[in-house]
Amino acid sequence: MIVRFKLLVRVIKAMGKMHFATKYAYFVWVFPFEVVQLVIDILLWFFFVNALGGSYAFEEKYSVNPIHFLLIGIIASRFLNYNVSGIFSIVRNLFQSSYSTALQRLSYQEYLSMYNIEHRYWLIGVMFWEYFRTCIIAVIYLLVGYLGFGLRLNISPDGLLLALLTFILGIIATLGIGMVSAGVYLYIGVYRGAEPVQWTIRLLSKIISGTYFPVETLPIALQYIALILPHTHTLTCLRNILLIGKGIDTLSLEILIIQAIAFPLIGYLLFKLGLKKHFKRGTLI
Amino acid sequence: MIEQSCGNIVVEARNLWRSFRKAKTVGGPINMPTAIVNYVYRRLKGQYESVSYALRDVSFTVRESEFVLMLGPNGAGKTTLLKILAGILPYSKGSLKIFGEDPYSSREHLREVRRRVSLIPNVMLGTAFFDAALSVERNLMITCELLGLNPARALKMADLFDLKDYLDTRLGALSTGLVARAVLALHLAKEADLYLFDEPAVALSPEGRMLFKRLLEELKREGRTVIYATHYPSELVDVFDKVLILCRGRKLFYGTTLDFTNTVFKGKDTCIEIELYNGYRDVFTLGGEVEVSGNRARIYCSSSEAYGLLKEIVSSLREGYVKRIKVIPRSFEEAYIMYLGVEK
Repeated sequence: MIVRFKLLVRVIKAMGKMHFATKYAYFVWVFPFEVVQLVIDILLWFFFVNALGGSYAFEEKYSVNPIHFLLIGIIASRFLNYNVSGIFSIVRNLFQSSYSTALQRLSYQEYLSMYNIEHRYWLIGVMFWEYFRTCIIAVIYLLVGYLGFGLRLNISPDGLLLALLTFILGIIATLGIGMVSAGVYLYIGVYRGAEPVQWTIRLLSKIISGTYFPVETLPIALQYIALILPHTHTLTCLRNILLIGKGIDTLSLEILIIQAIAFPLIGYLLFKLGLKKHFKRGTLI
Repeated sequence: MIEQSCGNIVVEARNLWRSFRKAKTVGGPINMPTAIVNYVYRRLKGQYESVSYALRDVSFTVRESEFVLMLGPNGAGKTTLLKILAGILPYSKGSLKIFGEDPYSSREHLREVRRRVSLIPNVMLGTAFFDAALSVERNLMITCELLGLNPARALKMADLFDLKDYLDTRLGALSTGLVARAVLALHLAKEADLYLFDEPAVALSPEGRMLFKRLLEELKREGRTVIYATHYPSELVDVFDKVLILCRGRKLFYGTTLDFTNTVFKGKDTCIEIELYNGYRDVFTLGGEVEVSGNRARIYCSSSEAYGLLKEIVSSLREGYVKRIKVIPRSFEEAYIMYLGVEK
């Protein structure tokens, strides 16, 4: 156990060095532009809200400021959507034999295996640094909200704990979907084009999960479909806790808990099946 | 063939098979939606993926400190075999023991084999974790940390491959040959009991290949075991003890390099090449196995016969008729090509 943990720390550390040594240009050149873009996006929404009659009507109906509503939606969705598509893209890069000459093929996964590094360490390492980047962006969103739009969150210990619990449940459920997607990808064994599971979930989450507007505004049929997405429940609960200050007795976390158990389980089984199929098929494809 | 019985058995492969499954597609570009449609279609029609074999019934034994040269045309199964031996690709049928254990029988055995075996890929495959924007040294240091290798040994290897002056240079600014040396320095930083080389000398310049040969000699002195896949055997053959020839997944030959050349040349390991000014052909009736083409003749004989035969040729020729006489030891590559031609 300790050896595995040490290995994981070593991989994460080395990946961090790679990131900071090779991608420092990101922080110098790309990151500032991303921040400007982010502020412009929030302003855009602010002007939309004003153009549609101001925040008063929205606040009256949903008991929450629309910009605050939007900020929580965007921050949480970044994490959740990364989980849905992140595992798929990491697995694709790992198992795709991109380094090839003529008949020889050696994938990252094979490369790492030669040094006794299992693919899960690489997967966790990549996700760790992507979470790190997403956390920085989340902090900037919160700062812009706090300084520019009067965002005040319910940060009582109970509220924070509950928000954290909800967030973790959402993360686990979406990681499950990500594993389903990666499993399908490995099982089918085609390394080109979009993977339908993560593509569909990401598309639906944009429209019906309530990232940008309340789910209640959707037609009733779409509202039912929205219940399938863990995004919907996570966002609703987070907003209720952090913006309205609701307690656990007023939240409906049941579906999210079921999803946080069911999706990873299905994802794990499919991923294992996909891996089995992948190794049976071999890499000479 | 009787195996030379010195040293412990490092690799023991018996009737090794490796299959690959290939999905038949119903036209169109292979992307995820068409693959799903194809998959469902095949299931409904009861058709399954076609199976091809990269290795068919391959058996061989490698003992400690042996150097085995692996040859074969493209698609012979060399890389597949090396991947299986490196513990990164399971075999489909047969049995395999590396250091006395089947690497694929348990996770522990697999880890142990991967720890003791090093697969050294060629430059095209070996740069996966390198970044062109970083210096050679930084690339080596970071990759060593990631893969759990000894950075000091990597630098020692870089020194051995004459990379000392390039350590501060951006990897992207180096020639392919120098990058190939960096790849070798990285992978040889792993101290292993069994080294598997997969065409590592690709892109190396002649002096790079010479340095590489020195390294192989060093590994031989240290008593390491080496299996080396290549398409250019001649310049390295004297370092190797045995040769394994694969073709379309099947083993064609496995034995000592001397046995191999003797089998192919049937003792006639020397060639006397004579070129005349005109068609004076008496010389071609001399002893040995003669091959005539225009004014040129090749007489194949054993190295012990060569001197006597040469004297006989020279004395029988009239002055002014001979343009050139050359005595050439027949190369390993020639034997390989001849053998492959016959076996194919």
